[in-house]
Parts: sequence; C-alpha cells; structure tokens
Amino acid sequence: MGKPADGSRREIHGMNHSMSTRSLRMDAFSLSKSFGRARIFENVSFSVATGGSIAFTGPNGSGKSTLCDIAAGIRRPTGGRIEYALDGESLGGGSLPRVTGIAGPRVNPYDELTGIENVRFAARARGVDALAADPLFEFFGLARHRDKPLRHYSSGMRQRLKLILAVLHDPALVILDEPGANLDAEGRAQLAEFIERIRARTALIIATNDRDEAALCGGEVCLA
Amino acid sequence: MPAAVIMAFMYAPAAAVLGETSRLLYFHVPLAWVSSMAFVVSGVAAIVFLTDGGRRAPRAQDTFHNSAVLGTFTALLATATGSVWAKLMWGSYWNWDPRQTSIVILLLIYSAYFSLRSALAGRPARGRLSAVYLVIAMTVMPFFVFVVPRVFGSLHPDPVINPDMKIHLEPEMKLTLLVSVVAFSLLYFHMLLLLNRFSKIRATVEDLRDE
Amino acid sequence: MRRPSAAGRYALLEAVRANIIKDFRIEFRRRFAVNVALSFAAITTLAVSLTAGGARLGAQTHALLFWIIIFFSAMNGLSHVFTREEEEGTALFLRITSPAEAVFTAKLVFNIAVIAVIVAAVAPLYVFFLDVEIASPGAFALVACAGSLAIASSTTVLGAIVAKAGGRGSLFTIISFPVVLPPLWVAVKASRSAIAGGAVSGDAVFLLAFSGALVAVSYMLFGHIWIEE
Repeated sequence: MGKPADGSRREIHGMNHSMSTRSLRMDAFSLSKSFGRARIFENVSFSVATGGSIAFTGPNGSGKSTLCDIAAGIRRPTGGRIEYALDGESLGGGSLPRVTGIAGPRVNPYDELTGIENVRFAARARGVDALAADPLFEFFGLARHRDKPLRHYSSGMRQRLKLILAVLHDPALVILDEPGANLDAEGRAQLAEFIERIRARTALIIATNDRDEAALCGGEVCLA
Repeated sequence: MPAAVIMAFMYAPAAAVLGETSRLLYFHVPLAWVSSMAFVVSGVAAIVFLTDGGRRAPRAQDTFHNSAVLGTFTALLATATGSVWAKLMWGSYWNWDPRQTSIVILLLIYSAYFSLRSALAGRPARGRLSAVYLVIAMTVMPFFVFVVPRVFGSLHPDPVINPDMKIHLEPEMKLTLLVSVVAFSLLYFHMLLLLNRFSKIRATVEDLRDE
Repeated sequence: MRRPSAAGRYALLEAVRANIIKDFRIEFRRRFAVNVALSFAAITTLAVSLTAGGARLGAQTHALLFWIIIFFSAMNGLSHVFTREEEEGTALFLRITSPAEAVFTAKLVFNIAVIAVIVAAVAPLYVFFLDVEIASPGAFALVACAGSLAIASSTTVLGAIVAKAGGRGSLFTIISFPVVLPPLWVAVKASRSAIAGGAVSGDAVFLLAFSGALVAVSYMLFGHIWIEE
C-alpha cells in the first residue's frame, strides 16, 4: 500500500473497492438537558446532513460534551427530540451506534492495550475489517507506534489514535469533541486535512472552544 | 379504608377462644401476607417501570420504591409479632423454621435494596438500577421458596414443627382472620397510594422550585 | 425486537470474541482481579487451617467453610471487571464501540474464568491443609463447579450495577449476598453429601437451573443498566 505518487487526494477509507454513497440527515428539535435541578441548556435546534458540518461552541461547562452525547444517541435529552434518517429511511436508536463515530476527552481507549490492539478490538466489536485502519495509521504518523501500549503514548499521539478509532468503521455521523486538544501545530494541520478528507462522506459535528476549528464548520450552535 | 382497620380491631377481641395470646395471629398472619404481597407488587412495578420508560405509567418509579418501604415495615412487624408468638407458643424466640427464615431473607433483600439506593443517591440512574435489583431479587425468590424447606429439613432436623397446620380454627376465628387479612391489605394499598401521592407532590415541588 | 440475521448473529459473536480477548488480555497484563481474589482465598484457607489446628471437623463444617471461602473470594474479585471500566475511564469508549449483549457475555465469561481459578486453587489447598477425606471426589468437583457457576452467573450483573454506584467493595457483597444465598445453601448441602458419600445430582441440577435462570434474566436486564441517562 504505497503513498500516491502525485499529490492527488486519496480516500482515507478507500482500499481497492469504491465506497457506496450514502446520505445521513439529523434534525434536532428544541433539545434541553437538566441534571437534577441544574439546567444545562434548553431550546437547542439544529440540522446537519452528509457533506455538512456544524460546530457546538461555548465556554467550558456550557454543555458541549453533553450535547455531543445526545447527538450521538448515548444520552437522553430532558426535552426535545432528534430524528435521524439514513438514505431516506428513519434510523432507530439501536442502529445509531453503528453509523456514529465519536472522539472526545471522555472517550478513552485502553491504556493496557497497544494502539493496534485497541484498533483491532474496536474493529471486531463493530464488525469491520481492522485493516481499514492501516491507511489511517499512516496518515496520522502513528504507524511505528502501533505496537506500543497506550500508556506510553504522548497526549498528542493518544488524541490521534482516538480520531482513528472514531472513523475506522466509516461512520456516517462523526462527532469530534475538542479534537484539537493536545495537538501541536503539525497535529492540528493534520487534523484540518483529515476533516477535509472525511467531510464529503460524513455529517460532521465539532464541539470546540477554538475559533479556527469552529470555522471549519458550515454552521454553529452556540451554547453560551 | 381506615374504617375497615378499626373494625378489625373491634371484632377480633370478640372472637378470642384459645386465650389472649392467640390474638397475635390476627396481626401476624396478615402482616406476613402483606409483606409478601408488597414484595410482588414491588417487583411487578419495577418491571413496568423498566419496560415502559415513563409513558403509560409515570408513577411506576415511585410505586416500586414505596411498596418496598411498606414491605420492609410489614416484614419487620411480622418478624416481631412472629417471634413473640413463637416465644409464647413454643418457648423460644427463634427457631429457624422455614417461614421465619423466609422473612429474614426478605429483610436481607430489602436492606440490600436500601443500601443500593443510598449508594446511588443523587444519580439519575438510581431509579433504573434499583428497579433492576428488585427484578433480580424477584427472580431469586422462587428458588428460595424451593430451597428453604429442603435445606432446613436436612441441615437442621428441627423437632419443633410449625404448628399452624395443627391449630384447629373455629369458624369465628377463621372469619376474624379473613377480615384482618383484608383489612391489612386495604391498609397497605391505602398507604401505598398515599405514599405515591406524597412522592408526586414532592417531585412537583422540586420542579417548581427550579423555576 | 427484530431477530438478528445470520450475518448479524455472526457479528455479535465476533464482538463477544473481541471483548473476551480484550478483557483477558488486560487482566493478563494487570493481573489485578485474579491476584486479589487468589490472595484472599489463600490467606483465608491458611487461616482456617491454622486455627483448626488439626482438629477433626465434620463434613458439614468442611462444606460450610469451603463455601464461605469461595464466596468471599468471589466478592473480592468478581466486581472488578466492571468497576475497572468505570475507574479507568474506558466505560464510555466501550459503550459506544461494542453492543451491550457482547459486553455482558464477555464479562460473564471472564467472571466464570476468575471463579474457576479461585475454586481450582482453594479446593486442593483446603483438602490438603485440612486433611479432608472426600468419599466422592467426582461429585465434590461437580458441586464445586456448579456452585461457582451459579455464583458467577448471578453476580456479574450485580457487578455492573455496583460499578455505576461508585463500586465500593462492601456494596457488592451486600447486594450479592441475598441473591447468592439459595445456591450457596444448596452447594453447602451438596458438598457435605459429596464428602460423606451421598447423592448430589438433584442439587447439581438445581444449581445449573439457577445459573441458567439468572443468566437469562441478567442478559435481558443488562441493557437497562448499561445505557447512559
């Protein structure tokens, strides 16, 4: 599997077969969330579809991560609802995890396992081929760290591995919570390029404080 | 409903035959019966709560907990009245007779349930997790019922057999007993509804306080 | 609930396998659960044998002591597989990566393995140090297996509950005890039979039935524990 000879774009997920097209649409209506007595946010509505992107912005503690959880279907909102549709058909809660990928500070892979072991676990658990991650390892420059336990990764390497784990199953919905955290300038450049490459195939949500990252997205939900 | 309770108290003394001590029967048996019923209600309400998700039966969450509270009280009272009666009839407070053992197990389950609840205080998952525990406990119950007589038959050859079978009940006593059981059951349901209403009010007050 | 297709079931099996590999691999590298449980088991067995001081104990007493040791060793080891996920912060990653059924099945297999190790260590130690003469060793082994299977089957889901409640060890014991009591009683009675030379088949069937029922109920309830609020 060599690198492209010219500077042409190579699909990160493209092995040798062409990828099928798909389109996901997500509409959120009047979401609100409270934990007991504390009201985190209310009346949040947005839509995002394949090819599109939206940023969740706001200061720390404004509920960006919670909103990411709700968008991913792993947390229930106190009020409001979300509708998902894949290729025109509405998507139930049970099938959502399979088409969703999340990376964030609270989503931590296993320190005791190596990079490749974590990837193999995630791939097998999701029912996809672990080999799909090889180009991702190359892209993020983690190929020579594959066999190191995660305990020995730097924070930047760990962040990049999280990105790999979030997309190795080619999800239609990608949610990145503070993706630039722990990345140096080179890492952030890689991240920007990475986002450009997956943008066309995914509905993208980025939760961030960083204006540059927010600028990568087409829309914004501000949780101030 | 309270009227039925009062009636039970009035009527019972009128039908005493075997001596004053036997009147405990009218309290002990219904208490034991209600504690079993409360447990079953708890378990069923827990299942309803888990499978429903709050649509058709929003108060199921309170029901299973309140029923557990009532169940604990009645079980404690049943144990107390039972052991007093045991002392009076057979000479010792505790015999490890199958029924006594079952009530102790029930109390164990309840105390585990309350420990779990307090460990989960403040977490949103508390209702769900404690409901799951009740369902598991309810699944275990049939195994208990099957095991206890067998195990205690062979482990502890107890010469003191439960004499409930052997007491010959006069018709008046049977009637009183029946009335008593019904009265206590009604009292239980009444208290359950009261507690549910109280829970609902408390929840509403908390919601209002947030506004 | 739609029945999974053949491909769906295969994927679930693959997910279970992935989880099992993951859990065993981590345990192999960390060795936490097994160490704690085995240390406890060894210490307790030795303590019992030392304080027994060579006295001849009856079959009933031996059965009782044996299962007390197994039970408390299990209490020290079987909640780990779930509390570890919460403590290490990997629970969310696991939740989004793997289907719940696969997680539960793998953790159950793990716990069965842990208690198997405990029993494999305790049984010979106990028999050796307390100089027990077992009339039917095959029956004794059968009861040891069936009883420990019952314990692991019923406490795995409880470990999941306790992990979400903060995972303090004593809570696990408190909520496990009432649930484990029926199989424990039967296991003690059957072990006594095996030591003295009686029949154990009925009791073994009971233990297996208990295990089956608890696994089925736990499997169905696990989804309610595992989801986020």
